Amino acid sequence: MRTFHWDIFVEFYIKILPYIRVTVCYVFFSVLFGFLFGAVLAMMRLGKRKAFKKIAGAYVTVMRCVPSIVMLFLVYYGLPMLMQALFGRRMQNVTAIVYVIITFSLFLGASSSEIMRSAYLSVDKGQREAAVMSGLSEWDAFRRIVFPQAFHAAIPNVGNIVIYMMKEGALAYTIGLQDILGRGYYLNGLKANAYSMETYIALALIYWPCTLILEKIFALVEKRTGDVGCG
Amino acid sequence: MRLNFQFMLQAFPDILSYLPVTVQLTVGALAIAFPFAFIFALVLIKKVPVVTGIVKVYFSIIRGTPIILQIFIIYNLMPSVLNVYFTATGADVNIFGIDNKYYAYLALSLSATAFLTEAFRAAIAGIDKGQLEAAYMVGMNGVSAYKRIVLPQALGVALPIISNTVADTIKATSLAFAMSVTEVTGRAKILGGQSLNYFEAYLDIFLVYIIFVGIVEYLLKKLESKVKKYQR
Repeated sequence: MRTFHWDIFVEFYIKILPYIRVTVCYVFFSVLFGFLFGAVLAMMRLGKRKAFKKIAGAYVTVMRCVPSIVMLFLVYYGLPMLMQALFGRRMQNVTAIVYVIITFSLFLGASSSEIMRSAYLSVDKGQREAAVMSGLSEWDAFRRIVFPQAFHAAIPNVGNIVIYMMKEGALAYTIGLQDILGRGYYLNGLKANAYSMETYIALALIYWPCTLILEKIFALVEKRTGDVGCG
Repeated sequence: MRLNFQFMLQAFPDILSYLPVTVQLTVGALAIAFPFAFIFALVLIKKVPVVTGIVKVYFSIIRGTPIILQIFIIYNLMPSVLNVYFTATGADVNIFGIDNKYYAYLALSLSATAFLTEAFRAAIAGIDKGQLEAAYMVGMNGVSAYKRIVLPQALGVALPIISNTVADTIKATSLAFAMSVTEVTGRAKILGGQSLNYFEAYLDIFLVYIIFVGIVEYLLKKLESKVKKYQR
């Protein structure tokens, strides 16, 4: 077996680290837009309109069946075509990260709607009724009674979504984005792919601690919000 | 927006003919994952010293890294590891003749193993001891008590996660192109690249995956409701 070049490993590790900011950027915006979209989908599914229910349900099912790389390519190649058809001009100066954020917002919309729905349903109906009975408005009952409890119930799943997003986002290298993995891929490519093992081990030792940190953060948040509800 | 429907129609059967490869990769990965997951689950339940720690670290790494990175590492590491092994044992095997599919099975099984272990562990640990004792009381022997009382219930608990893992593994096979294995996604990439009809090619596999994963999920849901009736 060939020798492991520690100097290259250290060099790559240090050179890749700053690109965490790119990963953080698309994770943040994908989760943000994903949850906004997911909230709309969850409302459609919890609402009374049958047609909305069906549409949102079908959307979630479709998204569950499609690999993220397929969706990423569809957005990457399809969006410029769509834009040209609609506005008559190509999207030329759009950076890869935009496609990544759009793709994963579509995915996270589906999965976060599931989370919000189950979190909402996990709060006993009597809670809202009691709140309204004691004089709170419908909105206040949601904001001050139902939401905090639902939020607490959803935290572990939210943590999983953020970690999932960080890992799946690595596929962005296929459309040329330089995030953590993309940067490693690029650096290795500059050296004629001669140091693949060093690169990949360095990448693993960046992703792994990031996941551990995220897990710790969400465990902490769950603990801190624990005394809000009574459930 | 003008879609090349003719290309889509022509490419569809071509792409579909690679679905067996996707199935093969899924089955191969799960065939490795199931026995290992079962052993790991027992290790965790029995709290075997040292091994438990190793299994936990393994999980943490698998959970903490992207699947594509796991694929890269296996695909790069395995040939040299095998080379060392074969040279040491003097076996006359040409490692460059090994089909990439075998590396794909291994790489895709890593995360499937982790998720299945957790499913099995939770399922087996969740069955009340009294159930087994009661089965002995009414005169069953060990084998039939497990076969008729414990396993049906454990399966009911584990099935939803098993279904999820199966679906995730099918989706993960779409990354096999990184190991030069041509399955559905890989074929679409090639066809799209040849004619520059990328979007149409991916639209085709979009449909293939929805239908295929949809059917698999539907069948597993059916199985779930069938097994559920054993649950209390």
